Amino acid sequence: MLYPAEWQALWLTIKLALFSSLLLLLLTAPLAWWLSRGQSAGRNAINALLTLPLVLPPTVLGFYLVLLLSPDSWFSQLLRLMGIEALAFRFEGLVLASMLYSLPFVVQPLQQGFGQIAQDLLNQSKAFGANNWQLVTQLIWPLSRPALFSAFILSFAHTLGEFGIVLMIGGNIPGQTQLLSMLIYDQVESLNYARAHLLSGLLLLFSFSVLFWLYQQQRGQQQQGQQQRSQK
Amino acid sequence: MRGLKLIFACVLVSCHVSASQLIAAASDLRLVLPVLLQQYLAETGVSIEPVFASSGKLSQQIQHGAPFSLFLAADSLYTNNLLQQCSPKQHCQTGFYGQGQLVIWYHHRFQTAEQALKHSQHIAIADPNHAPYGKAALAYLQQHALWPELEAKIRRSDNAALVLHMLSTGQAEVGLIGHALMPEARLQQLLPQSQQQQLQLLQKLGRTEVVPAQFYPPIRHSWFYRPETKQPEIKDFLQWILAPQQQQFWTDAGFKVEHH
Amino acid sequence: MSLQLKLNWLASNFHLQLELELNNHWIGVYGQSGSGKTSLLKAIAGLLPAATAFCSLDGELWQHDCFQLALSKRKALYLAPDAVLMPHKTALQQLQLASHWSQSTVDLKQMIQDFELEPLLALYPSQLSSGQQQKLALAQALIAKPRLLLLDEALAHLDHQQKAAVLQKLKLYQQQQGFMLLWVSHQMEDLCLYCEEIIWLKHGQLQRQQQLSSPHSNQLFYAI
Repeated sequence: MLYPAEWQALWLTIKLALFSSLLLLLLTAPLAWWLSRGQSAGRNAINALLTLPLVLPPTVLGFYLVLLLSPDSWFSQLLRLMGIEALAFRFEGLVLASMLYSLPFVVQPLQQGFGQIAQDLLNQSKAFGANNWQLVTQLIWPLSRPALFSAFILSFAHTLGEFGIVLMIGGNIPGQTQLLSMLIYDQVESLNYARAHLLSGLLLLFSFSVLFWLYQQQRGQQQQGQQQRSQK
Repeated sequence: MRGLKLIFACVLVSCHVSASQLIAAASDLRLVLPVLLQQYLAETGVSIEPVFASSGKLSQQIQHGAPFSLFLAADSLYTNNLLQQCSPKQHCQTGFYGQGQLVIWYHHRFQTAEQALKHSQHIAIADPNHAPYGKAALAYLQQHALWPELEAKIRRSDNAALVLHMLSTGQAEVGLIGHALMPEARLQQLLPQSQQQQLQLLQKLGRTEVVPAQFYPPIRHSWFYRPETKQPEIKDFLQWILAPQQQQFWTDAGFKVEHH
Repeated sequence: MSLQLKLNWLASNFHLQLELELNNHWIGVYGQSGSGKTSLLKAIAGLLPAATAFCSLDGELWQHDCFQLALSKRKALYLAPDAVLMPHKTALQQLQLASHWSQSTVDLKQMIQDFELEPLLALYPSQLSSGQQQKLALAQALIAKPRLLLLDEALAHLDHQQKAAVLQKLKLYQQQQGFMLLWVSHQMEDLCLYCEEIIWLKHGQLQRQQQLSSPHSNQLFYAI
């Protein structure tokens, strides 16, 4: 049904969404934790910075990324010193871009979820003698799992639908940066409406089923929790 | 959760996709170049994948490190520009491979191209800032007697191929595109079924005329070649497309080829 | 045991200024709402570092100026009126975790028996009544073998009968483990029954500090 190039684009899209979402979760969780523990001017400034990708058009981010990733930039030279090729027009560059772009979609749910863990509970657990590792594994992780889950959903879905920034920095290179959204655009340009229809429908169906599945899982967790609580 | 882990494991395994031979090509070659690449594959067994965009965009991308060693541009401006930025060590080359022709497509309800320009609501052209056919189309319209009227009707699209899309979806009744997007019947037969249908639909809907060459500055299609160790076969491909055997193809695709 | 404390805290509508030395094991804290009882307990537990100028227990410095001993090293447990429990753990898991975290040697089974917790063990905090929650929180605290137990109306939701039983067990554990206990309550008769010493706060200041074993204990009743 699908041509190899189309499989490749589909696969690349999923891979990008998975990679960037998981990396983003890992990297921003400590930051979101710090942000959730109180109010200060410094926190507000960082919050504002993290929310920027939400309000800026993708072109602004794309423009800066093109400059940053191009082989002559200071960033690429720094990477070269560490033995890494310039990231422009490569999958790794796209991962970086979509991580930046999905930043608010991950940090905000995390921050909210972490914020719901009462400081009293943390203090009491510390007073019992729990060390930081025990706090994280036995208290923070189980209590913030739903938040991590919804942050992942949002980031994943957002990356699936990414186009503007990919158009600017991706270069539409098969196997590296040709995402499904780019391939569809390509097919429309080549007057291959049948393929464009097929791919668009596929993306629609796929996105819907992933989201549906993830929400089902989440609901399952909630129901379990409610059952435990409803016997009161 | 287990499903998620499984997917992630698969992703890790398939991390490295084999890099194929890539070339960059101007948007007006979008329909005909795949046919040529198919022929090349049949003759030599080497598979080459094209990436299309407007010439201006592609030259930007190459400047910023896109991995193309061959770039088939629609304007020598961009290839010369790239050549200047090449260091002597890189052994970059450029050359000319054909002169593009501007064609005007207009809806059947207009009798002539002149009438179409005068009475139509919208005129679709590619973006003159980075698409050579857009630049040529703008030059043609600017020297037209009705230019002040025409100016307001212009609808720009990102590149030449998207003009075709605007025409086939009825967003504009008049459009100016590269001849290669409306190739000769002999070449059209070689296109994929869906593209043939779309082109036939357009031909049923309207007429196509070649715009006389004196009305716009020449569209000099040029190639830019930068040797790369990873893509040794590209040089052979370049020689192949420039060879006399391929002259007929370029003519069918709507290019005026200079005879050496 | 000897607890030394100096508090100085100026909030928008409240000024807390106290200097205390406590040497008894059962100390009752009495005063009207808003007199600073909760702040006093929280300060001792290390939860109000900004308000605490000085705090030490048995010569071990807990807080002075910038220095603050980590919560996990103090073993001072503060129990709020509404028990703080982990929403995702059953009663049994809470007790086990407290025991694990504090590396306690206290017999869990005995504790469960003493506080009649068996029927609650499989339940989550949201399934417990507020009185049951308080009982669980107290048992959890006793498992952790505190050096200082700070009860802020932490038994107020228990009915009369239960409270008497719980207090009796608490007394037993206090004698076994030897911790110091500060108990905030509005029930003067409870305080007098169990405490050796009572401090009375008013408007963030120490109004009176009275040994109950001394012959002058009666004076307190008159004062109240």
